[in-house]
Amino acid sequence: MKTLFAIGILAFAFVATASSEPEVKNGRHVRFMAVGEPPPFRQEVRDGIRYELEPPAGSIPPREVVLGFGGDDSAAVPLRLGRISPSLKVPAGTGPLLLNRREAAEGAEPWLNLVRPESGDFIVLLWRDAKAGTWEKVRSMVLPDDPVRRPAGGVRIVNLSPASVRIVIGGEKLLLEAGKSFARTLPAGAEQPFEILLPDATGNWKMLHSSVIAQNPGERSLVLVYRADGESPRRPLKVTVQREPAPALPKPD
Amino acid sequence: MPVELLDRFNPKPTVIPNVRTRESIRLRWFDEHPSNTLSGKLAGTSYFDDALLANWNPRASYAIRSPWENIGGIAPWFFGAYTRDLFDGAVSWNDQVPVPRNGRYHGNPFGPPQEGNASYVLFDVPREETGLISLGQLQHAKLSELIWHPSYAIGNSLADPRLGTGGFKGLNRTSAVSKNSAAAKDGGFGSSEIGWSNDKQRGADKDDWAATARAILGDIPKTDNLVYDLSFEGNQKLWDRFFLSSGTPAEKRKFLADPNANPLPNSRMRLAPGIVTGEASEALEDFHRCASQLMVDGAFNVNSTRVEAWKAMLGSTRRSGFGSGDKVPFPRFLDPPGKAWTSGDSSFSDDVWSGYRELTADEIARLAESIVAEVKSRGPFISMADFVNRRLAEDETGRMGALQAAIENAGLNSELTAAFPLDNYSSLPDYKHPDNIPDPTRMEQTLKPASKAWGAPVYLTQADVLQVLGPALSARSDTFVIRAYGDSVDADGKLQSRAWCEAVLQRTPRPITPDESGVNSKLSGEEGDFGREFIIISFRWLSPGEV
Repeated sequence: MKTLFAIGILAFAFVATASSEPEVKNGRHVRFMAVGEPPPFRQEVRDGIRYELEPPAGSIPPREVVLGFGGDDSAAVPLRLGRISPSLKVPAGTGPLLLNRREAAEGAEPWLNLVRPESGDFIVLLWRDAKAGTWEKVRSMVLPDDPVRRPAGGVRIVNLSPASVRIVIGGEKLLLEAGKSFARTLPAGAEQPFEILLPDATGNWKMLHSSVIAQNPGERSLVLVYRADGESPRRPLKVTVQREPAPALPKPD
Repeated sequence: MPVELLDRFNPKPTVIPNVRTRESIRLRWFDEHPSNTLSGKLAGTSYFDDALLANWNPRASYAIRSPWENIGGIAPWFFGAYTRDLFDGAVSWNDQVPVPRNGRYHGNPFGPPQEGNASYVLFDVPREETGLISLGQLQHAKLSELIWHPSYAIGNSLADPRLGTGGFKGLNRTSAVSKNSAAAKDGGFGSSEIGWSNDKQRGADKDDWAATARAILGDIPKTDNLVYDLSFEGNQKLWDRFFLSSGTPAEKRKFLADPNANPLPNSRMRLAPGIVTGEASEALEDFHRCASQLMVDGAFNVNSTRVEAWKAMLGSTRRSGFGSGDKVPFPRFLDPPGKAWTSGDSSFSDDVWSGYRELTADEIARLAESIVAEVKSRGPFISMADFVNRRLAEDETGRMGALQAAIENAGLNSELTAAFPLDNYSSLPDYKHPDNIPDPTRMEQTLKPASKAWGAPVYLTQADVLQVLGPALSARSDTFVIRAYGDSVDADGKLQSRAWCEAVLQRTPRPITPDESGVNSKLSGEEGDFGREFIIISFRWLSPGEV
């Protein structure tokens, strides 16, 4: 019996270029970031080959969503847990931003219905509704994403969890309430101690996450604190740090 | 799967790798992730539950599969103390971020880094200042290079789960037994036990895997059993045949010159009667003759059934200056970096893995009562090894030694057991393994300890107690109180007078009729051999009221 392992993901996508110059993008753009815990990996053997089983419905976000802007234009974008999506162009000005599952029937209710901010690039943070416990019902937060409001050297920390947390970054300590965010600028090349603490049942602050944030010149970071929403989560909250090259600032008119 | 193109000369990756790209071997966690535990024929069973320090040897150089393993049944064939991973979020890049502490990055041997403690101090080395003064200190010694042996072999007494075949069966022996006679000739490392693959790409022939295992082990399985109860065998060899005099030659010379002013590191050591203080004694520095020169002050007979005596003995380090004063310390390390830990403290504090155990007066009392119950149940112990080891019996006494059983029965580790439970309630089910392994669940689950944290520095073990008390323990008494009565009567048999006396006698190392070495009896085993010399320590007449 030959036991080979077939992983269901064989497609490769090149996500960045080797250029040392930051890319200048025209127009305004949106990106998506879905956070949450993946379901346990499950497999089965067929004819001596291991296959990854499809995760249970609602345990991961739709693999691809189609964006609509209230008109005829639409664009598809893949969603992966814990990974910022490619950017998509969006029309200028405010207006609807509708997300539909790729496989949704025509006329079906949108998976997510948002309003575009007036101006600038933005990122949509997505997580599954805690009560529903499924990605069928999704919650979101829209934040600025353009290089003016998220410049190189910046770190934005967002608390998507239902609890207030204490943040220690560098020498600074502050309380970050649920649904709030803040940004700081950190020097490039230096490691900044970074801790997140959560109150325990007795009200004492208990360490949830301890690491460092380090950025190369020209990079920025997005730190997301979110509810551990998996099967039998090990800890109540989780943290992801997304570091990336910052886009170039737009040239002055 | 995203692939990040990087600058050839100045690469700065930012894309987080997909967890499916991760491949590594790690120690099993106290709390395994579901992707692992839900996989294979044993999904939903407790086979991933292991006490890594009790039943495995993470310091081993040889980490291969023995015939006595619990095997998952589907690739990646989970078994042993180390494991690979299926692609769970718990082993993703984000969850494996190391924790910075004091300028260093820390992982966690028993779970994801973010769940770890500040430090894990597991083994000690002898210090120049003290040397080795207790056989119990040998618990720290790495006696084996084989992964399937216990981490703290000497002084502990847990039955090896590889011996068992269900219930108490198999506990009456010290080596694992092959079910197949052909494999037994290879110490179990035969194809009929190790198994083989029907896939020629995974194994050239039926004996390929077994032959490879034997070759890795230097073909020793052909002549010696390698899967055996190392604790039992080590204790059996050590506890009655050897003692530690303590002290360097220079310290012994000073001791000889003035024993009171210059005690040996084990300050219970006294010169035997007849040894002339101030004179050089080669024997005291001689490995083979040293025991003939020394005696232990206040040695304690482990067959004692007096609770108060055991309480006094167990509490003898209360005022040693080591602990917090009112409690009794049983440190596994001479210089632990952490603080004292007592029942009631958090089972998840850093001190659990870097501190030391202290017992309260109540716990000392419970332990003393529990020990006495074991002595009455199992005693008399005919030797120290008999006391230290489990019984080779297919009953409860075969699971662990009397002292460890007393510790557990006294509930001294109940909080850690509750915090780090190990499901050892039932044997694992049998199933047909695709690689022709006749019994893929041979490590008896019910013989594992009840806690995965067994062996944490504050989890009190038998070896911890013996490390402190071992040098003062004996399986017999060498000091005796003898009372005598005499009377005189007249011709009519009428009592004229009577008297009572009491003498305290001490057995000494010196034979009554020594041979040339001076250590053994010249008449050993012959008629007239009265063994070792007794001396009268004290004598007094008793009044009738004292009788």
